[in-house]
Amino acid sequence: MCVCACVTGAILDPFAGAGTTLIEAMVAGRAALGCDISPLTVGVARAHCWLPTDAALDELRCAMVSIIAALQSQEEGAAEGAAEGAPPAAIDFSHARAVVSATLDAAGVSEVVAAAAWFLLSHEEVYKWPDWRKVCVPLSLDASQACLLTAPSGCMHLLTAPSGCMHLLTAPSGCMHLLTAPSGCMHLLTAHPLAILVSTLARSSARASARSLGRSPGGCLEQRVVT
Amino acid sequence: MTQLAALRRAVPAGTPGARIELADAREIPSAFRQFRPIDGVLTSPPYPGVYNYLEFTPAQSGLAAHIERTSSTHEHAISAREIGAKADKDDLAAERTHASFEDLWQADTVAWLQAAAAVLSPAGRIAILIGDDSGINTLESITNAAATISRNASSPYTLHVLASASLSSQATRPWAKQATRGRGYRREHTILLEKKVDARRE
Repeated sequence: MCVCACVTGAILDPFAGAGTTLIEAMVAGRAALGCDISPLTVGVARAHCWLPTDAALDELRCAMVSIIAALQSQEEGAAEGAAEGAPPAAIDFSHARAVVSATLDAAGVSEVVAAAAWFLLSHEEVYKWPDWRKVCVPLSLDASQACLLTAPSGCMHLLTAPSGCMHLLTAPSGCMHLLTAPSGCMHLLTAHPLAILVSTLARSSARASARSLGRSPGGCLEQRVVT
Repeated sequence: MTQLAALRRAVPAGTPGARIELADAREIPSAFRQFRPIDGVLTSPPYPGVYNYLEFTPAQSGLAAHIERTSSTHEHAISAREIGAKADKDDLAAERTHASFEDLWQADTVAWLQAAAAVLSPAGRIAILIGDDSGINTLESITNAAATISRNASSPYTLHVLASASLSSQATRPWAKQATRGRGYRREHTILLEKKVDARRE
């Protein structure tokens, strides 16, 4: 007996979070459906699951260049208006967000590209950019909040190895450590016999949890196969 | 962007892009029905009373604001009360009302599981990863919710637990102990359910 029952239909994750399940479903060639009550998470998941064409990626690059230029222009304008020797004025975050919105509207980008641009503005890679402070402000009151969104492992890690992003959004419970472990839950969709599957899951979950909780495996482990 | 391209390469040609909606798990968007058959549900719901999920969405997040602005056509209003919120547990404890957090949790568990099962194919399966907290054994709550749904005479299907695996992990580091609010361990479950259509009920 296999968990997927040899089916090829869609996969649904009603608590989609940042989209790990949906990415793995797509990689498995399945239609992926997800929902979440958090608009932030929906945005992150959509960005993670985006399958852009080359043209769309070009569109995104152009949009990001325009946004950064607009934000720089905004800050330079604020600096010119300040008295000489005065400390830098506090950044007007709502205005910065408006600048981003206006820039995206003016660029006439597609909806998915606009969402991706907002997402990139929250990405930790921003910190590596010379002007990261300017780019972060549309999303967050300060750098620490931008960090909350992207640290410690960074959302985009999800795209290369499904073991990163969910640590952040589920950190207090640690629940997604299991789902996103390298040999974790998505194996449910493959054709492993159930008994092996449950055993494998339990072992890998034990390792993953032990790792996440800073302890070597050895916790209490139970398995139960009903059928 | 390199990673986006890598994902595109990893996804087999012809695979549709993911559809992700701003919606409550207790109200699965009916638009999803057009993508049937939905053969699998794979998810990790909130743990009971562990945190307040929506507080992870800072009001000033431009990304969240953008999604809300562009999701105005979603069919179902988002419930102001998220499933398993720590705030609900704390409030109910403070109010000393008759409604217990456990009752609320169980009702929500039935609600989302029923919503997921409703869109699932016959013989479709639901894999759940969940952990205990707030004195609630979530393996029991999922098992009981499946039984509740199956007992509903008006429902044309039943839900059965096929298998489960549970583990308890212990934390030794301060931050991990904090994450389990001082207990230093958490019990988590992987639970596999199957939907069976009951011909007698059809």
